[in-house]
Amino acid sequence: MHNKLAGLSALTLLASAAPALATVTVFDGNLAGFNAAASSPPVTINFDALSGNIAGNTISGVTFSSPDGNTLEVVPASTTVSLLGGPSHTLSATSGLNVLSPGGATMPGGSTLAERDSLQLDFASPMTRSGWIYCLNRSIAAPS
Amino acid sequence: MSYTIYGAGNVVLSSGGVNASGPGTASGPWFFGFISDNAATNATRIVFTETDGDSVNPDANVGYDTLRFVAQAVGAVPEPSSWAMMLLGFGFIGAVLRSRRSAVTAHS
Repeated sequence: MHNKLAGLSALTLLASAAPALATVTVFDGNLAGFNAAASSPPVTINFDALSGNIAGNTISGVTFSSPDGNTLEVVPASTTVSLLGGPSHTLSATSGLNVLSPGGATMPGGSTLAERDSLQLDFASPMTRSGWIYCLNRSIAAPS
Repeated sequence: MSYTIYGAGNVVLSSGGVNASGPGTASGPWFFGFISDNAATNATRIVFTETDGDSVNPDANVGYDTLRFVAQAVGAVPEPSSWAMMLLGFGFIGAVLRSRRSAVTAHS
């Protein structure tokens, strides 16, 4: 009897130590849903006080880097980009003054490094909730 | 564009495509976010991948604008279900000790 009870108590302790089933909920294109579920986390980084290449920098506990080894340029939101002399576009900020543009606000075309806009964020403290607003400008004309 | 969310030990917690990908015209702003409901799935790394690797479809330029987040609190308090399981465990230990004490008394 004692052994059974001891076994049960050990199992219960193990169960209490194991994490409950957990999930990650993704909000793709659903800012309203994210804010409702996440209680509108404060804007933590908007790049307005930054300039130049911030690749490798840690800001508010977040380390920014490019998986491709590209630069991560902080540029004014009004920066106009163009593709091989084609149509021009503007990186419009949703708030504040600046945006982060991997490779800078140039579109040389093809698969050059400057065209690769990948971004890696490493968190000093694990994130319970996180959201990005990002702007994307896609050229209408294909490169020749 | 695609995303991958990593947890402790670089375990992939979630991955997939991000809205606004595909050929044609597009403009911002766009949004991507996630919520973890447990410390086991809190994110340590997020990678957005955009290669623009072909010369047929129009190229794109992505700007990242505003990052909002809430980090896991240091020394986070366990969830209520964890507390309940722990209390149950202590209850069993108490029961074992009590029954042992009774057995010792009966034998003596």
